[in-house]
Amino acid sequence: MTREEFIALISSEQESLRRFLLALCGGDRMEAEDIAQEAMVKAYIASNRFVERHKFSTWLFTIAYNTFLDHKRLARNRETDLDEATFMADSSSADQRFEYQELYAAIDTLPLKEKTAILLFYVSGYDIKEIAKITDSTKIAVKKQLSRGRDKLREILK
Amino acid sequence: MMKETKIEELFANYQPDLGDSNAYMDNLSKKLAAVEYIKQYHDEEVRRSRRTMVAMFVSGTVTGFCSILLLLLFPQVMQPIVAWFANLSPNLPPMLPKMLFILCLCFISLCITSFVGRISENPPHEVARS
Repeated sequence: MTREEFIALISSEQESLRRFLLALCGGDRMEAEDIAQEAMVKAYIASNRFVERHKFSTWLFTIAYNTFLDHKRLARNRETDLDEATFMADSSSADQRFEYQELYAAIDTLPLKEKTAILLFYVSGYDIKEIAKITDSTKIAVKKQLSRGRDKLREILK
Repeated sequence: MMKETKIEELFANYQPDLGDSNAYMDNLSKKLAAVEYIKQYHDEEVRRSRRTMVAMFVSGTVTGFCSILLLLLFPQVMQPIVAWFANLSPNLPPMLPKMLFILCLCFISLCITSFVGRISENPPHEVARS
């Protein structure tokens, strides 16, 4: 896959991916943008291994989700208050976060797997089979995560 | 059912401002160009090391084979050198001069192989170009 072909494919998916990552990061725009860029570069490096019969967006979201998990793992290892301070100083991020406060607050109460399944289903519009592929789970597990996530959201939205 | 609608509503209105898409794509394509440059450099390094490995393997096999052939087919070649070693010190064990000769052959083979490896790693036309 040439760079031009890759950019053409990416440009139709990038907004959806960034929106998903922004929600997954609880509105932290800087973190979401970092992960999105890293995921796209990783996807480009691995683009020779992309198999045409697979859906490009599913493949890209899988890489992005794994990159997000890597970031979380790294952040757990060097957790400091500095990141939080940087985040608070970024007014545009703060505004964004405020605008969708209800959504982020509701989503943040869910465990990661449920949160991911819910966001992929409602924000990115994936079906259960594709979510299972992205999160490397079974269809039954995804159904359970969605059901549990919905129940918890219903409780919160009461 | 109403609650389900509420969940859907919560996400349906989720359209955060992601900034200028064109600027984002410009920035991304610049990054990808840099990545491509590094990727090309890396691929070239891999190709070069593979070429060197093959060249060294071939030259090692050829020089080793030639050395063994020399020892087996022309043992008289060894005689003057073995005699010279033996003359250096008459107290040397009789097998030692022959062993030293074989070691010399191994060393020469190694030198030839490493020379071929170095040449294939930095071919003269590439050195001139850089």
